[in-house]
Amino acid sequence: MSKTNGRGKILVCDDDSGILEAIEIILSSNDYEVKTLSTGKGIVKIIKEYQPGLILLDIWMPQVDGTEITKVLKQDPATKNIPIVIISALNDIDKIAKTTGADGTLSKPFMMKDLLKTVETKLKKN
Amino acid sequence: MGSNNHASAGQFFDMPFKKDLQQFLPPVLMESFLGKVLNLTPSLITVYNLKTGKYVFINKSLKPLLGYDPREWIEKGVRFVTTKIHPEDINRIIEENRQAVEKDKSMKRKTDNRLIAEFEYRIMHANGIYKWFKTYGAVFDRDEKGEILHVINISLDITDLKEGEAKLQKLNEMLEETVEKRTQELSRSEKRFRSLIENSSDGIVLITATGKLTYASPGISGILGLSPEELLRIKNPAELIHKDDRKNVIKFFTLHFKKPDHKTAIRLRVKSKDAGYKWIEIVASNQLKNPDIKSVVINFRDVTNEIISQKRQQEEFKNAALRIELIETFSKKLDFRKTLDLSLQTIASKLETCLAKIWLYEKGQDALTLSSVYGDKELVQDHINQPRWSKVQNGRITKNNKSYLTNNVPGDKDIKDKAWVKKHGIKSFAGYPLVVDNNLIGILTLYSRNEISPQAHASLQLVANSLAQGIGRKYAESALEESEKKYFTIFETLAEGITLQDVSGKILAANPSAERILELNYDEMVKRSQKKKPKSQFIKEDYTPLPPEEFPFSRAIKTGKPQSNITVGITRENKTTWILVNSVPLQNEKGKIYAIASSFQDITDQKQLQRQKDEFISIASHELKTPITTIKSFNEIIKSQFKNNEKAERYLDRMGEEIDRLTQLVSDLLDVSKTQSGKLVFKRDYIDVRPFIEGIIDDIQPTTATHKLMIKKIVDGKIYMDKYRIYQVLANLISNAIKYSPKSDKIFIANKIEKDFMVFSVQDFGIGIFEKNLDKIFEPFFQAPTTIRQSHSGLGLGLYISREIINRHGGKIYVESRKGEGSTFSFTLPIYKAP
Repeated sequence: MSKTNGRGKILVCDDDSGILEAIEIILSSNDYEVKTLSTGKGIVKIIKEYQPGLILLDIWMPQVDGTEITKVLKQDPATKNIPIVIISALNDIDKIAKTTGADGTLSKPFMMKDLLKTVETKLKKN
Repeated sequence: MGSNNHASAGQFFDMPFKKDLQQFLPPVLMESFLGKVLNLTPSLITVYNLKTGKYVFINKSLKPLLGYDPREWIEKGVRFVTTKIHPEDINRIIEENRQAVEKDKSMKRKTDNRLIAEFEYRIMHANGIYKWFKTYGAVFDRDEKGEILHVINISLDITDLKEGEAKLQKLNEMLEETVEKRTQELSRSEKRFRSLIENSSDGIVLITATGKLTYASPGISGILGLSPEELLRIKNPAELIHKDDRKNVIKFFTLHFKKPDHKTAIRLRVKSKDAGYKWIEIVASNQLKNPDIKSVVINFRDVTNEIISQKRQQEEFKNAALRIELIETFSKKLDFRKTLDLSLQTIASKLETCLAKIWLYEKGQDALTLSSVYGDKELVQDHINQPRWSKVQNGRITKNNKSYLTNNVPGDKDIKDKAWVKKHGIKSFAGYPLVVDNNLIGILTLYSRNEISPQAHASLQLVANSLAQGIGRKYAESALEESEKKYFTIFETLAEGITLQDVSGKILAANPSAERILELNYDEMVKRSQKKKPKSQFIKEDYTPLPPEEFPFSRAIKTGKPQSNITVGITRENKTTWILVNSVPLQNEKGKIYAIASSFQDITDQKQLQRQKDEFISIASHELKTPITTIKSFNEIIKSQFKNNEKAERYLDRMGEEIDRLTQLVSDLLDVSKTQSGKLVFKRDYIDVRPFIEGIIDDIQPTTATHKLMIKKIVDGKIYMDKYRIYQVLANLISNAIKYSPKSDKIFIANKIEKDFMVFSVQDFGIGIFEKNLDKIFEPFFQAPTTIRQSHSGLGLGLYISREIINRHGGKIYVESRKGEGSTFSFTLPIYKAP
């Protein structure tokens, strides 16, 4: 499901397959390399292997919650420098970002241009 | 008499002294002055210097009156003359003279020459015989300081007058002696008169052993209105005596005639000529054995007034005692009927009435109800047989609200049942209105076989008043009891907890619901309320501790104002009970708080429900937003791939708009839920309004092809606000303006400063709002009820949320509109100075 592209690697994790697919289409058509995950299970290992320049992370997910994942990633020296943008339909998303140490937020539903703008500004430049 | 030493008559007359002289000089003397014959007057006139005691003038009368040569007096002065005054008089004269001079000194106005003294004294004639003289002394003239310089004395020889007086006195003494002697002789010889004198008072009558009147004194006429002669002519004097008293009088005299030298008194009513019966007191002295009198001497005294006032006093005393007894009866804790019966019994037995009744207006009734009866047994049993009559009487009293008395019951035309009256020998009837606070509550009726006097009648009204007061108080008491019972029942059964605390916090009362909600029985509650540290933890809505000074109770004491709807959590072990508290301070007349009444309801379940609702809405909105996100994203993806297909692009735009509306609906629902649960939080900052307004216009202008958003006027400034929320409000007003002005093509946006507020306004030229709806449009779920509704569907929450946001910012939102002309929505935000 992944393809290499020059603008950078982005890992997207959301339990909603529709959103996952839409984000993948938007980002890959804008020359980003995208890896999608529909569950947070085993995500840390995958991130360490994949080494994305940005993580787009949903909060409410079955099994493993987005806030937990963020905390773990931000505590791990191997991953703590990878920017994380929380994408959620929750209203107090900014507050969550603050407490977990996430680098940005994007409220659902979002506009395509907002998604692209966020990715552009947050993506870690290699 | 040298010209240096005494003034001539001519000189004398020119002096201002003359006027004063006219005031005190006897006319005879005045005449002699007028005749300029000062020296010819028989009176002695001298003028002497008060300080030196030297005479400056002596007229020619000295020689003929007292035999002295004036030259001797001028030479030797006043001191010499005083040696000639009788030793018994001299001291008095000196003293009186001194007083006269003292008095003159103490007077403020000394310009006049008034008479200062008048003396009567004996002075020795040159031949050694004392003569009585009367001297008038007056100020002749004064020095510059106003002090007396010369005194003028005018003296008359009153020796003859004095001797005459002495003679007269002697004659009088002789006469008195003679009179006394004569009186003694008379009284000795006339024992009859002496007896009369001993018993004498107003009127005296003598009765012989046969009962015949032989003498009546003139005083009789003052009492009976009959002259003594008229009285003596009456054949049977016993007829004058009131028939009720005759028996007593006969008994009195029968006894009296048997006892010689006996003195007794009796009071009886006697018919007087003019005014009915009079009370008289007779004192009889049996002088039948006295050979000089051979009669019973009777002394009459009119005691009518005494008797009346005595009777009245007795009545009043009796009634006062009765009233006290009534008050006692009514203050007993007895049931109403019993109290009524007891009080009537008290009245009836004390007043010698054979039947007494209390009639009262029962609650909600127009007619009187017989409420209590007391009296003679057979009358009480038989009283039912005379209802028609009593009705007439009662009506008479209630109609006029006035007491009624008749001592002629058998002759009363209102009495239908003559048989009943006759059977029981009723003579009198009295009825009294029972009035409390100007309200007629009933009547008291009394029947008697004896006469009821006007005095008794008058004081019976007072008894009736006391009775009315007692009944009134009983009424009030029972009303109070009833209401107390009612309130107690409410208090006991209310689902709300109610407590009453004194200012220290000690529980004074608590209802069962309070015990249930607080999970404490009353005794524990009292015990804990007295401790400083409560066992339970009190928390605020946000789960932080509630300090004691923030308890509704404490705040009510501190502010003196009711504290409404304060949510307090009580945590015990692992459970939290939420209560909604209202505390009201109770103040005395002086405004001092003496207690706090608190009511509270258990809202734990409500809170739980609220939380569930919030959670549900939160989840629901999250779950709704997720598919919306997907739809929206794909809509945009497709759009980006149909860039050259105008039709497809238009349809996709249309879809995008609907997706946005759906998004808005979802977030509105969430906002309302938050607003209602007080969870709408703001993130405020100082925002520069110009770029803020311009930014909104830039964002919204692309969404409308029909309207031009125009800035009418803009004022620079920074406002402390949550820019996202205020953005939400302004965007909502602009999109409403577009929505509700389909035929117009412009929207005006402006801001201005008014006092401490910045006013933002959005003006459209659309359909406007009916006046009746102006204050409703900010309510939740309100929508303009017009035909265009279909094209403006939504939940009607936008303005409600806007109002909440503005209110929470300390501002106001309002609208001015005219149907058919458009609307201007404005909101204000406070301008704070940058900290």
